Amino acid sequence: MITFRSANRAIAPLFLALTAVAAALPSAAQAQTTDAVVLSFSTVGDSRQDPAKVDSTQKPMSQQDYQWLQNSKAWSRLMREISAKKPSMLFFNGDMIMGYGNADVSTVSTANVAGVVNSDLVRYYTQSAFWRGMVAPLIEAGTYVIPVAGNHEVQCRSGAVTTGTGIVASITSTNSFTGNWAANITCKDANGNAATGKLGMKTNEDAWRANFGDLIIDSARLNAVLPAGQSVSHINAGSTIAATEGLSTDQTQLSYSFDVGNNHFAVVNTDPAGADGTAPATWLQNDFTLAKSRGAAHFFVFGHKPAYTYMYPGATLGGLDASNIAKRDAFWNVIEGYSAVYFCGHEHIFNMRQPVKANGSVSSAWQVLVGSGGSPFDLAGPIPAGSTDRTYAFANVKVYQSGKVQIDAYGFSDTYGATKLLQSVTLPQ
Amino acid sequence: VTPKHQNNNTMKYSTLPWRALACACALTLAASHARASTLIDTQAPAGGLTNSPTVDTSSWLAERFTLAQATTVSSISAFLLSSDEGNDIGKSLTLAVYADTSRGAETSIPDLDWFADQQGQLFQTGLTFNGNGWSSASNLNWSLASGKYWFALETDGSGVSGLQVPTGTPQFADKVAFYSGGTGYSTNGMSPSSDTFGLRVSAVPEPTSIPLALAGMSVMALLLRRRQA
Repeated sequence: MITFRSANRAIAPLFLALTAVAAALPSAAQAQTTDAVVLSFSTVGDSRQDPAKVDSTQKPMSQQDYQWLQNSKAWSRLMREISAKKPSMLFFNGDMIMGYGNADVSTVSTANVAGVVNSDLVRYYTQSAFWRGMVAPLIEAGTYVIPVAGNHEVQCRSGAVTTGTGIVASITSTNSFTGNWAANITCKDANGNAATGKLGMKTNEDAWRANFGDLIIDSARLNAVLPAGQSVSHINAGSTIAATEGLSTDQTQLSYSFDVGNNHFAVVNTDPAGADGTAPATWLQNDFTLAKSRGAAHFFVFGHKPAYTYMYPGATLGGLDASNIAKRDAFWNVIEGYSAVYFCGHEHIFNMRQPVKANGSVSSAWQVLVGSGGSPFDLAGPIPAGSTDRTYAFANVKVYQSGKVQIDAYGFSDTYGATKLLQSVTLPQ
Repeated sequence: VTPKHQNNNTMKYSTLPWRALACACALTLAASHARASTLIDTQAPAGGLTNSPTVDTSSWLAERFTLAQATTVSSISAFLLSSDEGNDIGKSLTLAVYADTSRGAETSIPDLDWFADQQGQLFQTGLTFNGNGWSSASNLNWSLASGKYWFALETDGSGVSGLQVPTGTPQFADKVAFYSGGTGYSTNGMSPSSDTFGLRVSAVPEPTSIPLALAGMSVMALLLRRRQA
C-alpha cells in the first residue's frame, strides 16, 4: 500500500499538470474567430418559360408551365435553396414573366372570354400574378423579394409568331396544349405608330408598376425581415431619372435605390422606353455620390441585361454592349468607381467574373450573371465536364461585421443533381 | 528497518504491479486496436469547397454502402467544410441510417423518406460541426444486420447555412442520392464516382477482440498472485 501511495504521489502532480495544460489549450472550435454576418441577400433572374425554345431537359412540359409560362420545377427548387440560406432579401433580376406583348387595353377584345383573357394586357397581369404567388411563401418565410424589370416585362416584341403543335411562343396564345397558334403582336413607338423589333413601351412600364410596385419599397415589410439593428432608409424611387437621362417616360419604380445600414442598393431598368439596352448612368452617379456622402460602404447594383455579354460558345452580343458602347462604358465607370458589384440576368446561364474591358485590362469590379432561374438555357447541351454553363444558379451575398463581403454562387445541373457551391469570391474590405 | 532497506523494498514491491499494469495495458491496447473495426472509411476527400455538394435545410445527401456481416455501429464521422466556418461551428446536423429496401430496379428514388416521416429510417443521431474536417458522433450502439444501408446527412433548420461535403474520395459508395424537397431522396444527376462524400463508420468491439482483453486481465491476475505469494 505504501508503494502504491508513493507511486500515486509521483504521478498525481504530473496528471494534474497535464490536465491543467489540456484545459488551458483552446479547442479547435474555440480557436476560431467569428466575424458575424450583419446582412445577407440572394439574387437570381429569368424564371419564365418559353415553350417555343423549351430546354430539352424540360420536356415534356406540364400543362401548368405551358399555360403560365414558368419553369416551375427549377424555380421552385431554387427558392427552396435560397430560403435555406436565410437571406433577408432576394433581388430578382427580371424576366419573371414571358410578357413581350403590349399591355394595353387596345389588345382586349370583349367579343368573347378568349378575347379578354388572351389579350396582351390580361396575360401580363395573370402571368405576373402566377409568379407573385410563387414567391409569396418566400416573403412570408422572411426573404423580402425585390423585383428588377427585364426586357420581357417592359419590351414588346412585334411581328408574327408561328409555332408548332403543342407550342406557344407569345403572350397572345391559346390555352390549348395541342393547338397550332399564329400570333401577331403589334408594338407601338412613343408616338403611337406601329413599330418593328423589340422596344420598351410605356404601357408595359405602367403594367410593371401595377403588378410589382407594391414591393418597391414597402419599408415596413422589409424592415420586418431585416436583422436586428438594420433598417431601410433613403429610398430613391427614381422619379428624376426621366429628366437626368432624357427619357420620355416616367421611370419611377423601374430604377430605384435604397440603403440598408451602410449598404447601398440600386436597381436599374436596362430597357427604358425610347432607350432600349441602356442603363441610367448619370442618375446612378448622382445617386452613388449622395449615398457615399452619408457613409455607404458597399454598393450593389441590379439590372437585367449584362454590361458585358458573356460569350459562351455561339453567343452573340445581347447585353448593354450590344446597344451603345459609350453608355455602357459610362455605366461601368460608375460601377468601378464605387467598387460596386453588378448582378444581372438576361443570358440564361451562370457566369461570375471581372470583365475584360475594351482596353484589354481586367476590370476591378465584378459582374455576376445569374440569369439561370429556369428559363431555357442559352447554351444547348451537352457541355464539357466541369462547365457551369447549364446550371440553375443563384448568388448569395453575405456582409460581415468586419466589412468583408463574400459572394457564394450555388446551383444544380440541368439533370437536377445535388446543389453545389459553384464559385466563391471575397471582396476586399 | 533502515530507510535504505525500506527504499529497496519499495522498489521491489512497486515494480511488480506496475509491470503487471504495463502488460495489461499492452494487451488492452492490442485488444483496442483489434476492436477498432472500421466498417467504412472513404479517407479524407481530395476536393475543396468549390463544386462540392451543399448540406442545409434544403439539401440533404446520402450514400449507400454494403455491410458484409452483422455489426454494431459505435461511431460515425463525416467530412465537412464550411464557407463560413467561424459562424457555422457548433451548428448541428442529423446523421441517419436507412435500410435499403429498394423498389425493384431502383429507378430515381431510393426507398428513403425524410426523417419527418421516420419511414425507412433505422437510426439517427445529432452531429455537431466542429470545424473544417471530420465531425463525429459516438456511443451509437446501432445494431445492423448484413446488407445495404444508406448513410444520410440531414439538417433540421437549425441554421446551418454554408456546409459543404467535398468530393473526390478514393473509395466510393455504390450509390449516392440527394433530397431537395418533394417525395424523397433522388439519385438523379448523382454519380458515385464524383459525388461521394467523406464518411467513416466504426463498430463496437467484435467478439474476436474479447479474448485479447481477457488475456490481459489474466496476466495481471497472475502477476498479482505471484506478488502475494
